[in-house]
Amino acid sequence: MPSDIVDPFARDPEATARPLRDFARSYLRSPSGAVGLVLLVLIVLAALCAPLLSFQNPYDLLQLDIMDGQLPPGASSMAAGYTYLLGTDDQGRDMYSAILYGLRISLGVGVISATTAAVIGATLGLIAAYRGGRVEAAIMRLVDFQLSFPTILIALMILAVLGKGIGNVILALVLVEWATFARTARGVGLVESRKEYIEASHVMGVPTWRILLQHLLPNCIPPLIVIATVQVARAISLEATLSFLGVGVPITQPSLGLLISNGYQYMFSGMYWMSVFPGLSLLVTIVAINLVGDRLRDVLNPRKDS
Amino acid sequence: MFASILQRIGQAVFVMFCMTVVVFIGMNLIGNPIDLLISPSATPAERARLIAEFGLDQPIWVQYWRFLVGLVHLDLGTSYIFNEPALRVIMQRFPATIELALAATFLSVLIGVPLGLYAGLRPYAPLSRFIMTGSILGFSLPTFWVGMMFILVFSVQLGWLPSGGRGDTVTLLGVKWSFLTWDGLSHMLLPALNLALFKASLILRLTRAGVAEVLPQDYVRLAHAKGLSARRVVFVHVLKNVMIPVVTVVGLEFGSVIAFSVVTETIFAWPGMGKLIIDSINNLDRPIIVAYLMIIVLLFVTINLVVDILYTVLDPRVQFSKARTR
Amino acid sequence: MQAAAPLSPLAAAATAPSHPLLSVQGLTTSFLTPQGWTPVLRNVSFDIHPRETLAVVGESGSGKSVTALSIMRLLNPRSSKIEGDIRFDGTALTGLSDAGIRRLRGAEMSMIFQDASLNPVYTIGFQLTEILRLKRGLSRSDATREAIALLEKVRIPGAGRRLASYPHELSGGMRQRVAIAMALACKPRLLIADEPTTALDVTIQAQIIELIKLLQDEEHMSVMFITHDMGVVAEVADRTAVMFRGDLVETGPTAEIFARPRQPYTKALLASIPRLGSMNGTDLPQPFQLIDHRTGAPVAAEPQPEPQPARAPAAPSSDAAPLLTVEGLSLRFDMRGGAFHRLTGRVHAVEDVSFRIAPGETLSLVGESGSGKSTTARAIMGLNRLQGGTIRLGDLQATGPDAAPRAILCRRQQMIFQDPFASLDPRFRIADLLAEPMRVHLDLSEDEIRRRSAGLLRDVGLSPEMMQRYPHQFSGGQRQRIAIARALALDPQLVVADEAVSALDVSVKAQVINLMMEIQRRRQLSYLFISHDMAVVERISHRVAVMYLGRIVEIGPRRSVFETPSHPYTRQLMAAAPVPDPARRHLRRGLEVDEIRTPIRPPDYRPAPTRMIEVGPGHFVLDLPDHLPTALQT
Repeated sequence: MPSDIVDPFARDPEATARPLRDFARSYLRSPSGAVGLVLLVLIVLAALCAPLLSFQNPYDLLQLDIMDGQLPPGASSMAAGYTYLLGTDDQGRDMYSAILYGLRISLGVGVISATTAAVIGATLGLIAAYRGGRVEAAIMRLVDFQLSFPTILIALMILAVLGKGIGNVILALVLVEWATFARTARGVGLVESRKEYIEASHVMGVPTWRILLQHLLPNCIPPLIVIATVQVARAISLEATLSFLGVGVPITQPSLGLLISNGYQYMFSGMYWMSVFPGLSLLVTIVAINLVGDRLRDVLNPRKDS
Repeated sequence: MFASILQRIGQAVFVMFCMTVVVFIGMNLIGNPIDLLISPSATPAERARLIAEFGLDQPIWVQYWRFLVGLVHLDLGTSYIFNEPALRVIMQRFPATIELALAATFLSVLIGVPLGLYAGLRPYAPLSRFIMTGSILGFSLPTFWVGMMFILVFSVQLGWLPSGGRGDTVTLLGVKWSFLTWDGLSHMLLPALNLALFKASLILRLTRAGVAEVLPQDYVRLAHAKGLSARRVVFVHVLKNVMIPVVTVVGLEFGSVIAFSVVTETIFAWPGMGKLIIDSINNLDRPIIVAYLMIIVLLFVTINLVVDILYTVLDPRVQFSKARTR
Repeated sequence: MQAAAPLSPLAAAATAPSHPLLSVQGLTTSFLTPQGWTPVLRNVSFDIHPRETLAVVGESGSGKSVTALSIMRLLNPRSSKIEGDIRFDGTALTGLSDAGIRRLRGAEMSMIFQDASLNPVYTIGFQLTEILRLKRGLSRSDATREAIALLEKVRIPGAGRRLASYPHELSGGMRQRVAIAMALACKPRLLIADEPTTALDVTIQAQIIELIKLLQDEEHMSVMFITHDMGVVAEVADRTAVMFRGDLVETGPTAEIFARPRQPYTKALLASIPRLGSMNGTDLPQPFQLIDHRTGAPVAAEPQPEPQPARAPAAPSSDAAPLLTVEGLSLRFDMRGGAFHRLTGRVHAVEDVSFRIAPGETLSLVGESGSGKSTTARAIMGLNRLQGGTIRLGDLQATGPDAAPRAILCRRQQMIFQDPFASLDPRFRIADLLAEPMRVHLDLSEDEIRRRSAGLLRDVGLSPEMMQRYPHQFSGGQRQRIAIARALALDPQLVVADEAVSALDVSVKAQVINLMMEIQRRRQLSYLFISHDMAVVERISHRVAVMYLGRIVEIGPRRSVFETPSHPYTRQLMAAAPVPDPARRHLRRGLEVDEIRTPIRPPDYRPAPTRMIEVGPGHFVLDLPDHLPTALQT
C-alpha cells in the first residue's frame, strides 16, 4: 500500500483516551458479536444457577421416578406434579433439569481445561520465544510433534489408558490443547520481542523479569484471548464427542454429550427430545462462544495500529 | 535437496521410534492383560504357562524389544476378539476409511475454496456475510451431532439416503470400493459430507483470509496496472498465492480427517478402522489398538513428509531445509 | 568516474506549448470511512505534456499516491469515489468502462511501484511474457525473445538467464529494473512512477533514476514521478507539483519552484531539506532555519526553558579524554545450512572497526545497507555480542571480564531507535514510559519522577499535559520526541541514534534534527549518529565515519571528509546523493550496473589487517585495494 493513503493528520487525539470503553463500543458494532455475547452471558448464568432454575436434581436417583420415563415435552409428572417442559429420558429424568446440570459440566470442563492449557502453553511459548536457542528448539519440537497428531486421536488414546472420569477428560484436553497455545504464544512473542520497544527496555537496563511481565506479556495477550475463546468451544465440543463415543464423563455425571448419546438410541423410534434438546443446547453454547471469539479476533486485530 | 529429503526421512523414522515407546508404555498401563487373556478359573500352573507363553514374565525392556522385533516383521500380535493377526484385521478395514477420508477431503475443498474466494473478493456482499456466519456454524457443530441430524432428516424423515453401511462395492485392484457404484455413492454421501463440514469451514476461512491478505499487495495492483483482466488477476495472480497455504493445510488435515472418521464411522456404521478402534478400546483388544496406532503414526509421518515436499515445489521462496515452521 | 552527457534536446521540447497528454482538472477523490465519504484529494488540477516529466512531491498524507491511483483507476471502487475530469490524449478516463480503462493500462500508460511489486510465486519470464502475449498478442517464442530484449534495455546483466529467476532471487534494484521493463513492454506514452527508488540504497537509486531518464529519451514517454525527496525532484523533473494534505499547493517549472517558491508550504518544505554541500566552508554543525508552512515566516529556534546565551553548537575539545573508545570491534554471524546444520559461511557484519567520540561531539556513521553501521551501534549498546575488540565508556570498561555492570553503563549511554511507532510500548502511557528508566535506576519519589518527566517533555518541545496519553495518539515526529525525552531521562553522556530521523517526513525530520542539536548544546551530550543520508549527516556531525561492507573506509572531521572525500567509495556515495538543485538536472552519471556486495564470506575467510592512511589532520582513509564496490575496482 502506498504510505500516504491514510492521512495521519486526520487522527483524533481524543479518540482513544478510554481504551476499555472504545473496545466495548467497537466490539458491539457487529450484531452477530453482540448476539453471541448476550447468549453466552445467559448460558453461563443458567449453568451457574442450575440448582435454582431446575425442578429436580437429575443426579439424585431418589428424585427420579421410572414411571415418568420417556415422556414427551409438555407432559405432566405422574408423581411430582410438575410439567416436564422438554420431556423425560428413559429413567424419568427431567430433560430440562438434566440439560442445565449437563451445561455445568460441559462448560466447566471446557473452561478449566482451556485455561489450564492456556497458562501452561502460553508460558512455555513465551519462554521459547524469549530464550530462543536450545530451549526454544526443545519446546517447539514437542509442539510440532504433538500438533502433527489430531486432537481427538490423542484424547481418545489418553482416555483409553486412563479410563473414564471428569478429571481424566480435563487432563486429556489439557494435554491436547497446550500445544496450540504454545505455538500461538511463541509466534506472537517472537514478533513482539523483535520490536524496538523491547530492545529499548533492554537498553534502559530494565530487568528481564520486568520486560517479560510488563512489556512482552501484555502485548501478547490479545491473540491469546482469541485463541482461548475458540479453544473453550473446541474443548466443549471434544468433550461431548468423547462422551458420545463412550470414553468421556461417567454416566453418573452426564454432560450434554453424554445426554445426547443416551438419547441417541431412542431417536429413531420417534423420541427425538432426549437427544435433540441437549444437542441444541450444546450447539447454541458452542456457536455463542465462537461468535464472541470471531468478533474478538476482529476487534483485537493488531493491524488497527496506525 | 536430496540430502534434505534423506534428513527428513531420518527424522520421520525417529518420530516413529518415539511413538513405539509411547505406545508400548501406554498399552502396558491399560489393565492387566493377564486378567483378560486367562480365564479366572485357570489353575495357577496354567496361568504360569500362559504368562510365560506371552512373555509377560520378562523384564519390561525385553518385552519392548520383542515388540520392536515383531514390528519389524510386521507382526503386531493376534487380536483377542477376532483371533486373527491384528495387522490383517486393520488392513481389511483400511480401504473403507481411506475412501471416506478422500471423499470428505475432496468435498471440503470443493465447498471451501470457491466460497472462501467469493467471500474474500466481495467482503461486504450480503452473501459473503452469510457464508462467514455459516462457516462459524460449520466449525461449531460437533461432527457427531451433525451426523445424527443428517440421519434423522435425510434417512429417517425424508428417506432419501441410507443411514449406514457401505452399500454395493466393486473390487478394483483387490480392494473393495464404494464410489464405483451408484448405491455405494449414495451410502457415502452423508458420511463424507458429515466429515467434510468442519474441514470445509476451515478451508473456507483460510481461503478468505488469504485473499484478504493478498488483494492489497502491490503485485496485485501491478497486475491491474498491467491492464490484465479482472479474471486473470484473480485466477492467476491472486489464486496461486492463496492456494499455497491452503494446499499445505489440506494435506496436513488429511490425517485429522482420518482421525475424525472414528466419529463418523461410528454413527454411520461405516465398516472402517475408526469404528474398529472404538470397539477395540471398549473390548480392550490390545493388539488391534497397537496396530491401529502404528499404522496411523506411519500414515501421519508420511503425510507430513509429502506435504513438506509439496510445499517446496509450490512455493519458490521456500527451500526444503527451511520448510515447515508453521 | 561520471560522464556529463550533453544537454538533452527534449528539455526544450518539454517547455514548448503543446496539447497535453494527460490533463487532470478538478480531481477530488474521497474514501469511505466510518464517518462517511472523506475527501483525500481536493480539486487537484495539472497537465502533463508529451515527453515531459512532472514530479509530484509531498510528505506522507499529501495524497500524491492517491492521485496516481485515481488516474489509473486502481482504487477500490466500493470504498473510493473519484470526481473531476481526467483526460488522456483527449479521452475522458472517468467516463471509460472497466474494459476501456484496462485497454489503456499497461499499453498506453503504465505504472511502477515502490517495491516488491512483482508476484513472488511466478518467474520474471512468466510475468514479462504475460503482458507481451496478452497485451501485444505476441506468440510464446516471440514474447520470450522480446522479454530478453526488454531486460537488456533496462541493463540487466545476463538477461537470458534471468527469465527463469523468481523475484526473491534478485536484489531490490534488479527487481525495480524488471518492473520498469514490464512497464515499457507496450511502449506506453505515460509512465507513472510511484516512489520507485524510496526503498533502494542511494547508489542504486542513482542508477535507477539514470535509467528512467535515459529510457524516457529513448522511448519518448511522459513521466509522472511521485516522490517525497526534493533532491530526486530536482534531478528528474521538468515541472513540479507540490502537494500537501490532499491539496495541490503549487505547480510550475522545477527551476521556478526551487528558485522562487510562491506558497508558504513550498518555502517551508524547501527550507527543511538538507542540501549536500551547503555546509562547505563551515566546521561546526548548524541547525536548519525553518519556515512556518502556514505563514512563510521564519520559525524561532526550539523552546529553551532555561534562558541561556544563544550560541552556535560548541566545538568539542578534541584534546579532552574521549568519552567513547571503540577498538578493533568485530562482529560475525554464523550461517548454517544443509543437512547437518553445518557452518556454511559467516556474515562479517563489522570488521575491525575503531573510533573515538569526544565529550559533546557528534560522530556520524554513514553507509548503505550491509555496511554494518547499525550493528556497530547495537554492539555499543550491548544488544549484539561481539567477537572481538573493546569498548570503553569514559573510565568504564564496557566489554571483557572487568566490564562495568549493565546498570551503570545504562545510565551513561542511551539509544534512540529508527521506528517511532515500534520503539514505544503501545500499552504504556507517556508518563509511565518516561518514568520507567527512573524507577529502575534512580531512587526517587513518585512526585520527583513526575516533576522530572514534565521537565523532559518540555525539553523536547511537548506539553507536560500530554503525559496521560498513549503513544498511538501522537504523530511520528512527536513520538520520536518522546523517545528522545526517554533517552534523556537518566541524563546520559552518550546517545546513540540509529537512523533516528530516517522514518520521518522532511519537515519533521528537520525539526527533530534541530532539537537534537539544541539538546546537545544544552547538555554537552555526545551523539553517535547512524544514517544512510549524506545530507543529514553533513548537517549534524562534527566528525564522520563512512562504512562499507563492515569496515570504516574513511573517517575524519566532517568538513575535511565532505570537502575532500578521499576514498573512492565516499566519492561514489556523495555523487549518488540526490541534490536539490535543478541546475544539476542534466548531469548524467553513467549507467554502470552495480550491486551492493554482501558481507558473507566462507568459513575459512581471514580478513586482511586494517591499514589506514592519514590524508589530513585527523582524516584517515582505508588502504585495502579490494574493499570497494565492483564497479570501482580497477
